[in-house]
Amino acid sequence: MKEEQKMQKREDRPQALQTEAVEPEASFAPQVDVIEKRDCIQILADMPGVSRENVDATLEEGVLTISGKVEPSEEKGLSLQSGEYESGNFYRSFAVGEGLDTENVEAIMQDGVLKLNIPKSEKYKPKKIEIK
Amino acid sequence: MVIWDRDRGFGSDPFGELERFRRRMNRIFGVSPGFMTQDVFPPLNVWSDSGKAVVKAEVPGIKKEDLEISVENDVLTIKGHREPGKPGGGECFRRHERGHGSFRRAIGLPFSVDPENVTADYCNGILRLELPRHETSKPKKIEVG
Repeated sequence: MKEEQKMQKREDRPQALQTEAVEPEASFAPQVDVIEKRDCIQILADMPGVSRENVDATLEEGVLTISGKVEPSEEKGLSLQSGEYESGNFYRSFAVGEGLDTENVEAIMQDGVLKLNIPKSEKYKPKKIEIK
Repeated sequence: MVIWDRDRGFGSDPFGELERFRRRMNRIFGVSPGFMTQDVFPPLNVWSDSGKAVVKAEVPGIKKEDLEISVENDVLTIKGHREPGKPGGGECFRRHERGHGSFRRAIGLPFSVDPENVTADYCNGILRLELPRHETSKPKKIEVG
């Protein structure tokens, strides 16, 4: 019973408090690089097999979610000799801190890599201090 | 995914099945070593029938011109390179999971292929090769005189 309550609690936790999630259904978590640049945060995610039309990125209440749909990659009429990777949809979400300008996110999908540029808010950008 | 097939048991390649299972679990939980840090890169899927073979490779983020493909008899070689995307001055990695560098992989195909008629197509980070079987390697019927 105690265990059950604990699990209940975890589910009740608001999504924004979870720093990261990899769900739902059978999906794969894309590998990502997060790079802090001078005036933006850049996220690169490997999503092979996902076309520009099938990729989705949303920012809601401090949670960035990226997902991609992969078309089945079977070869009709041929038999699989060896399989080293499996195709499946991609899904991953991140908590996004304050200080980012979420209104002006730039997203580019190229060669199966999703690139997001999230600009920093004006007041978080580095400022040079003038020395008198 | 079929881990265990009732009719085939674990099939002819139980370790292959285990390896695929491990990769799948790693990808689901996002702990996969991924690009370039996998034991073998790129991961390939190979299909064939009696007349041709199809090979697909996951190579996201690699420019078309950085891929080099060659075929000799029944050996296919794929070479390539992915730029490191290194942060410059005033930049740093907050998370670094994607790999980079050079790779080279050669695999044996079920038959000799006709190198003149191989087609290669690169789309959304997936390389697809279609390799027709060479005439000389096709089975010939022998009449009993």
